[in-house]
Amino acid sequence: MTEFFQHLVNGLSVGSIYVLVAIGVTLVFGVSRLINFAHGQFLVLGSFLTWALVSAGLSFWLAVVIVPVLVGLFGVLVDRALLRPTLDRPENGFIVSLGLVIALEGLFTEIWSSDDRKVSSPVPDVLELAGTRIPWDRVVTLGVAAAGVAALYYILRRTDVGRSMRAAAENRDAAALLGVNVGRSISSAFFLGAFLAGIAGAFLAALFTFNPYTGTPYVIKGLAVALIGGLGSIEGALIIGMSLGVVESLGSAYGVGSEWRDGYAFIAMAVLLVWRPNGLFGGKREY
Amino acid sequence: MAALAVLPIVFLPASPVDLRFVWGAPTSLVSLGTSAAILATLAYGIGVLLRFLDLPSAGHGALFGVGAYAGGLAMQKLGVGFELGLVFAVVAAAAVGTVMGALSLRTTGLAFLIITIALGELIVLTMRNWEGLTNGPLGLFVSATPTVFGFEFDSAVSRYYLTLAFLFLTIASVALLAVSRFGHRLVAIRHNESLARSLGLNTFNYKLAVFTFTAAIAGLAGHLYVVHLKAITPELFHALALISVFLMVVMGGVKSSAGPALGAWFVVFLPTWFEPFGLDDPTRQEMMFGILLVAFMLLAPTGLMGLASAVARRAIPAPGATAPPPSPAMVASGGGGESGPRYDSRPDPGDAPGDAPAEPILRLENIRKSFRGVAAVDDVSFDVARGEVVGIIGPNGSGKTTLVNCVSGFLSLTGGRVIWKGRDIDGTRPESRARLGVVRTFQQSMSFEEFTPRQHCELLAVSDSRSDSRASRYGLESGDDVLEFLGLSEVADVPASDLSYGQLRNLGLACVLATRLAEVIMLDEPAAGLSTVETQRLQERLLELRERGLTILIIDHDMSFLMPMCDRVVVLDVGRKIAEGTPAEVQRDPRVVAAYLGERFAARLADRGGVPS
Repeated sequence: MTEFFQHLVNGLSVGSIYVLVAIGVTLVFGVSRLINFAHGQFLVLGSFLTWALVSAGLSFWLAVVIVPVLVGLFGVLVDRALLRPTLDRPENGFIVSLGLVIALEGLFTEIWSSDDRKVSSPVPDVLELAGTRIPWDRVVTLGVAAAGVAALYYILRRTDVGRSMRAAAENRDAAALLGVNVGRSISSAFFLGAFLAGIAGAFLAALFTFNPYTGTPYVIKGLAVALIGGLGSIEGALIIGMSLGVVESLGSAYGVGSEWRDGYAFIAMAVLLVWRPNGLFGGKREY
Repeated sequence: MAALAVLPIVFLPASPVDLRFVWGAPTSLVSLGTSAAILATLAYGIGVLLRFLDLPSAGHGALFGVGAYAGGLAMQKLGVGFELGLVFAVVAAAAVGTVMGALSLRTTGLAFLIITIALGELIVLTMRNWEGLTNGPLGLFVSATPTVFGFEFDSAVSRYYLTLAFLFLTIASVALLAVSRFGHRLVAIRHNESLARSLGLNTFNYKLAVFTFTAAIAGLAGHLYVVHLKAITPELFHALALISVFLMVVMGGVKSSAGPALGAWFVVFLPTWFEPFGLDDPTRQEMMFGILLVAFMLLAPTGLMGLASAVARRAIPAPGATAPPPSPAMVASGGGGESGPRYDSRPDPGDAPGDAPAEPILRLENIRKSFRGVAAVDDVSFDVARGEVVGIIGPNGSGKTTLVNCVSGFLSLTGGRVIWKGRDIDGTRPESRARLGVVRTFQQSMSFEEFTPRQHCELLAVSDSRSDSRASRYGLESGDDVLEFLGLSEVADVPASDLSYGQLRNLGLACVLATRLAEVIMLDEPAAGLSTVETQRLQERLLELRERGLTILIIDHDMSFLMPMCDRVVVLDVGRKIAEGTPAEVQRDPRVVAAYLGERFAARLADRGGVPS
């Protein structure tokens, strides 16, 4: 039972990283109809920057404040320079982002080498709860992810930036006619998405080892979560992301073995697209 | 021809100063050349899918891997030779490709890209985890000297030429596909899938066939790859690992026969040309591929997907293609002789060709179609007898087009039955109904714009005993007959994109007749937008078709065009049938007048004792 509980907590903490990645994918898709496969590189960039700052002597918590902003700005750069010109042909944008993935993988390897690395845990203690030993950093990751999602909700519902994004997501042309600066809304989506990926990257660096090639599995899963949760739906991403983390964790422990861990997302994605080939991309958008 | 165009690049690996390549180049260069030829073959597989279906597949890397593993395992475990191994590779990749295609081809664009990535990664994961068969992440080691027809390809240079031969074979088969009727049909499907289906093409089967063909090409390339590398691991076949093949396709373009091969040679040899800049380092190579892919996609804004159609649009218009006005002959025949509305030309039912009291061939029983609870067509029933012209009229929004969509199979019924020759055809697809003889036209003028009217006829013609008998019954056996009949002979070789509006409308009808399938034609506002003269010509032609035994179901708003042709008219209002009868009966019916002109007007007319003529 205690073992089960530990797997559950592990699943939830990995799931919270999926959620943060998936929300970025979903936000960008909602406003721009683009799928940015290089979103996983935002995550890894967050991990490397956190590692670099912590190695330079900064505290982890200060890094968690600085890194997401930097990654967010990088997201805006990618948007403006590379993906914006493909707005009318999203499949071209996707291929551009594929090229960007391997370009950035190469760049990160050039700068930081392809070795596995890790940031020492900011909260190394272990929480004892009903006989179960839960590492505090897992709990903190969950808490920070929850705070990130709550903040995003606040921005989307209560601020002008967020309202403009929701309007642009609903109908880009109509929003533009009514005076919404759609271009800025798309950049906002990229900034917020990359910002969340930066947070996820910082905690990823503390929880697991990472290298320049770590981003791709996460973005594939983030994409799967965003698709299954309904592209554009934050609640969907939240529920499905957590579920995927838990299913993977429990499936590896009690089911078919950990070597198939990555398969759930592929299968779920394929089944979904076969089941509803066109429905997803025009699906309900909540923000 | 196509192969000749590629010949010069064969010597590219030699570099301009090293012509020794042909008989004895450094092994490293020969090896790179072999890689280029193999990856070029794979690039053709991906390129064909883009060129003919406009679909970017990220799953062909995995199919390439299936071919490599199938061929490698057959040689290693079953001890078969190179040739039989090739058969294993091609068949396995084609089989897996058929499944992948069946699952993914219902999607397009971005969704297609993502589903092919997911399925491809699932295949790679299976290769890694099915250790009993594939030896897992450690991979496969195969050492075999390829032997073809007893000739041993025992040197690197000879193997290079063997690989090249397969590349040329691929290029030739792609070139053949492009000029074949099958290829033309694929292009037609890419242009307008609905139109293709309405004319009897089973578009899904065509798409699946070409997907399987490209999977077989990928399998062939995979087999050559395992023979070349001698060692493979699952990691080689990730979508991202093969991004360079995407780059080859993007750089070379898919429209020209030499494109992907040029792209492949460029991508493979680029690192050697820039060796002084440190491009021999694999990490930097990957980085460069990524940057180049981004740059090419952005600097060619029509991009990968738009490339094929952009080239097509630049096709040189044939002489006389500048939208000629209706030809003098057309005007003359319309203006002289049988001019004016031919109210009297409608033969009495007794005059109908064939047996007099014709049995209904098409029967609509209580047809209902609702969209989210709103009934667009509500409980409509009527029969159509062989050789009849039945008009469907009704105010805007009365459900006329929805009815045609239901009968032609583009919409499924909410309730009721469509009976064709005594058989319930509900649930069959539009293309099947066209093959059974129920063919429609569309309200908007539609064509496969890249093709000329003659090509339309050629690619649509069906030749089997059934279609032969139908075509001979109405005396329009060949495409030329059809074009002649519709006055399109003069523009038979002008691309559809350069035809006038009136000619395009005639082309729509020509397509239906050229299929040689139609027994009943459903025309959705065929006269919309036509000039008076053109409308008159159309009316004459439709009556001529009726004389020849075709059954016609026709929607139009132009009463002076419609009424004289019809044996019977069905009137719809807000989805319901409110009247049915001869044109004269319907025009007198107060419910019809009310539907068109309002209740008060109808009442006033009724007081005066009828509708003024």
